Amino acid sequence: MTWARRIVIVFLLVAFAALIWPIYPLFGNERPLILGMPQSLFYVAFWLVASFLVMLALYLFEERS
Amino acid sequence: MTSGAWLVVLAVTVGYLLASLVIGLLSSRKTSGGTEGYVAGDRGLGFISLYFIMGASIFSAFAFLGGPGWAYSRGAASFYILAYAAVGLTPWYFLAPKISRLGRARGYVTQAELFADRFQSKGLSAVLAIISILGFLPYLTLQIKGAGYVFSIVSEGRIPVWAGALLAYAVVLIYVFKSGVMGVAWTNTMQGVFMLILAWTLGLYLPAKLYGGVGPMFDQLANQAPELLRAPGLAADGSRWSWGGYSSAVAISTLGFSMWPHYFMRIYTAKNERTLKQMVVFYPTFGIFLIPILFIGFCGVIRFPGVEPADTILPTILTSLDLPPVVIGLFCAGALAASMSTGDALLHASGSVLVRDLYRVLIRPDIDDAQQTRLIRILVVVIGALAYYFAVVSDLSLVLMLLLSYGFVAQIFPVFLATFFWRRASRPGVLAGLIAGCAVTAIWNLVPELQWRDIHPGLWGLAAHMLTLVSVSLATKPIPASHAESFLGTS
Repeated sequence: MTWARRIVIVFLLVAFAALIWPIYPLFGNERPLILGMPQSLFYVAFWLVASFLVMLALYLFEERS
Repeated sequence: MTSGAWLVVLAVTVGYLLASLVIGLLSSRKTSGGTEGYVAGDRGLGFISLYFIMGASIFSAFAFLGGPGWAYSRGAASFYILAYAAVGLTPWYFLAPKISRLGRARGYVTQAELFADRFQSKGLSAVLAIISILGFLPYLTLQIKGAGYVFSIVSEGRIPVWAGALLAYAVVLIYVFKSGVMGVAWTNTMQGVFMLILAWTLGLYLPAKLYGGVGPMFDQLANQAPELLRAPGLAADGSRWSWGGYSSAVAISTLGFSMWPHYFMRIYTAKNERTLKQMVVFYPTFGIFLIPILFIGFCGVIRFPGVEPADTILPTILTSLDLPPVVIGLFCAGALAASMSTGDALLHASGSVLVRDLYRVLIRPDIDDAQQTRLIRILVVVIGALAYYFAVVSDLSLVLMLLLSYGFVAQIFPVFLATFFWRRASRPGVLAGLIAGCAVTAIWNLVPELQWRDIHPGLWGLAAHMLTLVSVSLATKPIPASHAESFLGTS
């Protein structure tokens, strides 16, 4: 497996862990409001966007090489 | 609404149904008549079709009516619907290209065909087919119910649930019967675009109209109902939900998501490997698109307290706002789109799985291609009728079936791992593991005393599955290396 894929798989495992107990409780409060959303919702949205961007980067990298 | 207004609403909704029908029927011209065309679209689908087919899977009737309902009554608990979209489909990035290649070379069009070939097992094919149907039926039934409710709400009870469900699903049956997967693909693309526009318009317009914006809305909520916004939200009875319940729901959905047999079959429809990878990369964007749908539910908390059942919060807000009938009609069409774009894929997959993985494997291995397609079509109608019966006639509780089905489907994940990564996995090991996993899931669902910290029964099933798979495999003869070799690894 390439190093790029290894890094992405580690990221995906981190993202999965970040969205459940015991990490999500640390970021699951009603405040502060970020971009109008409560922290608990913004945090989930952040991981959605991060996951999209990381997978996009892997795709573009693999297409180029 | 005045009597004239509801006719406008109905006209918009029926117009939308007609458009779906026309597009669904036109799409049949694009493929060959055989099973490869009917089930796998001649393996020629591009990025846009695949993207919306998979997107429709998350934008189901559950998301459109259930999503706001969850946000309204259970608050942050509803975020789990978003959470599993973050990584749920990513296993495909690494393996779907290979599955697609194997499918092309060996003629697979269903999920069970791949696994049954890897483990040389007819039994595995049959067990997977049964799991698939058990998983599909409650979901299909819910979608049909959802469509019926839409018509009933639009017409203020003038059109009963049974008639509305019949009308919407007659359209679905016609285009699935005629056009197979291409009917699903084309209509889902149209329905997908339509739902997205509607979700964002309503999701941003309603908070603006009622509270002056999304930020001010959440500000008021954080003051008045902070426990609602604090993860993991509330349980169904209004008490605080447990972290065990929330986390295990996310985990089982993430693991099970990429294993649903009707999504898995889409891998074979892709034109090429690049298309598949692009689809996986862009999948989390559908999770982002879902966020405004939740805003709609949060809108109701302060301004519309006490709405029962919670799933009717969206129609309740809409009908109380004095909106033009055309807008309400468009909303109803959007809810129908959500129901139909999920229901059509389930119907199509049910027929395909029953014929390819059960009938052909166990009863008539010599069935020819044209007969298969004909039989799939007949079964699509039979399954549609059965689900319709459950939806409008029977009083059977769907909740337990739904809980069971996600738990069962997640049991396919270890089979998937063993197929590609474990040389030593044996036929008895895989079969025993799958059966043990499903049995434990069912027992944990049926015996509430076994519950511990609200952990999803499917996770206990997965533990039993892994243990059985490993121990039985090590004690029995492995699959010959010459056969297993072509499946192992990601390339």
